[in-house]
Amino acid sequence: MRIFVRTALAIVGGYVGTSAIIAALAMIAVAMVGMERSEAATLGSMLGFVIYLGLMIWSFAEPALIRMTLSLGAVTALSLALIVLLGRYSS
Amino acid sequence: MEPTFRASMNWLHTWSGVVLGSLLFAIFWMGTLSVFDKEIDRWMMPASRLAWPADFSYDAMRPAYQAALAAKSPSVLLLVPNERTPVITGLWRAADGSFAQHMFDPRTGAELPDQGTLGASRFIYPFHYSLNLKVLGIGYWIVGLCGMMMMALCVSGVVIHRKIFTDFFTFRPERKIRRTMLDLHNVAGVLGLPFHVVISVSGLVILFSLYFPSSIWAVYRQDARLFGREAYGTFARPPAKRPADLVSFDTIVASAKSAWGQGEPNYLYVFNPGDAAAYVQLNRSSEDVVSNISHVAYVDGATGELLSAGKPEKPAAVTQRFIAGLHFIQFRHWTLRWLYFGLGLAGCVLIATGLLFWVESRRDRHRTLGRSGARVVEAVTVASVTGLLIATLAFMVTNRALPLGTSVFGVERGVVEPVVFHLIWLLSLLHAWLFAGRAWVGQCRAISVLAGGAVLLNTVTTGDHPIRALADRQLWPIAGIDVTLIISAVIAALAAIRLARRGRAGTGSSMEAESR
Repeated sequence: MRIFVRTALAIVGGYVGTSAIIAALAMIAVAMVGMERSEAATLGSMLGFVIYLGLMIWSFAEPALIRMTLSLGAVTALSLALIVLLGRYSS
Repeated sequence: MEPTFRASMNWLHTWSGVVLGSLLFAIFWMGTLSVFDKEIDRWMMPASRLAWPADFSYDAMRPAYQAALAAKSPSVLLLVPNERTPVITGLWRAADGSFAQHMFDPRTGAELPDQGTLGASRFIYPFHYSLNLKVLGIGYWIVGLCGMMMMALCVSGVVIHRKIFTDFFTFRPERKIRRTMLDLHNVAGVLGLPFHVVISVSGLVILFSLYFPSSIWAVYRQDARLFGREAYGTFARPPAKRPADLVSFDTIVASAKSAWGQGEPNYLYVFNPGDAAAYVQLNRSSEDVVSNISHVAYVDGATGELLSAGKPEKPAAVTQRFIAGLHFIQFRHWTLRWLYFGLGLAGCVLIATGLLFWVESRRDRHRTLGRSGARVVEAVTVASVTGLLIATLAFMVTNRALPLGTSVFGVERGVVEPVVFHLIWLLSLLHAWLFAGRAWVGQCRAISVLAGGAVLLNTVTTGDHPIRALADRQLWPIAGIDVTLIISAVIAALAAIRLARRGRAGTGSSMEAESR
């Protein structure tokens, strides 16, 4: 059961977290660095594979499942908050 | 979880390997074959074994275009013949809405008879990236997950290694099977590591906008369709609803070449054919560059004027295309092509030996404990390694054994071939389960017979036997496939003999000599 939760966390949680992080990164690159938006989108997307890999490895390496869940949740929440904030700022 | 980082990586490596190993093997195997997909196409479509006309005139594409026009297709894709594909390929939507693919003679433009097969480029190649599962694009996601896991396997594999340098030189073939498997796994893994990492990353990066679209959504919001236009300079315009003829293909190509300076197109994509607003997308052939899509130009179909030709100079877009190009291998370099093939096989050996190591280290323990784990994994491994090779060979043998135009139970050959592939694959699993422990021998024999049979059938049905093919430059693709098949037949026969001897000697273990 714990293995199932951990695997789900790594694959699904990692994917959701990565998606949120790269979306925030792309928006930061456009809003603050002044990168062209197609470039920011492509770069963000490609970084996604590296970030996802890191999150997956981390999910399996972290001994305390609860700490992992909370950290991943926090990073995702922070990214989502940034997306909302930057969305307001840019429009 | 495990107490140390290395222990948890060991756990991850072991279990993701066992769970996804079979699928990974299938993806690697089909990808390895796709390195020579065009050559397999020539083998399976004898009418296309033509000489490549060096003095090709683009106006030879006119009949193919007219055929698409007659079918009232909204667009038509015409592939320019090249060394590996010496025919004009036309793809368009038929009147009934289905996609049709036709081949035309590059000299006369005359349509070649339908070859009644999907060949490698429409069966083996799509299997590699989508497992041919089209429902909801689920195949892409399964393959994508396998690609991610391959990277995780590479990382965890490196972490659990204590002596990565010594493993370069360590191979103990004659001691315990388990030891041999681990050594072979390490050698293939360590030597091939850069390839395995690059091939997984690049495979994923090709489909970046499918796998990670959130960054595109984030910066484009409602108009995500603008991404293609801004990133790649994609051009589009609606039909004018007035009929007009397309100018000559030579004029269109000359227009595009004026933007490129040098190089030839590898395809002409005509949108709104027959309309005054017709336009043609041309991509500069990537024969001499790594990047798959090197330089796209748009030409007005009615006037032949250049509409747009934005050279992709944006760093991220260029990087993405370079990485994708590493995976597509559309550049012309035969040494590298064979290297990709060899390293792909090394990847197959890596995955197969990894699975076998798992089985060998648990077989005896599971038997005494009365657990079925090792037996199940072994049967699945046999079916996914030798079984898949048998199925692939059966696919090719069916193509040569059934004459063009025959149908089995009212089903034409193009459909029978994939059915045979899947049926034989399933049977190999059944065989592996029923003959646990001995299945390797039987399946190696089957590979040997089928590979030899394929060469023989090709000789009988087309007359292009290996010696004749070797002597004739335009038949080299056929010679390459036949020679590879003969080598595989010999290796499989030797493996079967050794395995049978080992089985009689009573070691009770099986071994797979080489996964070809």
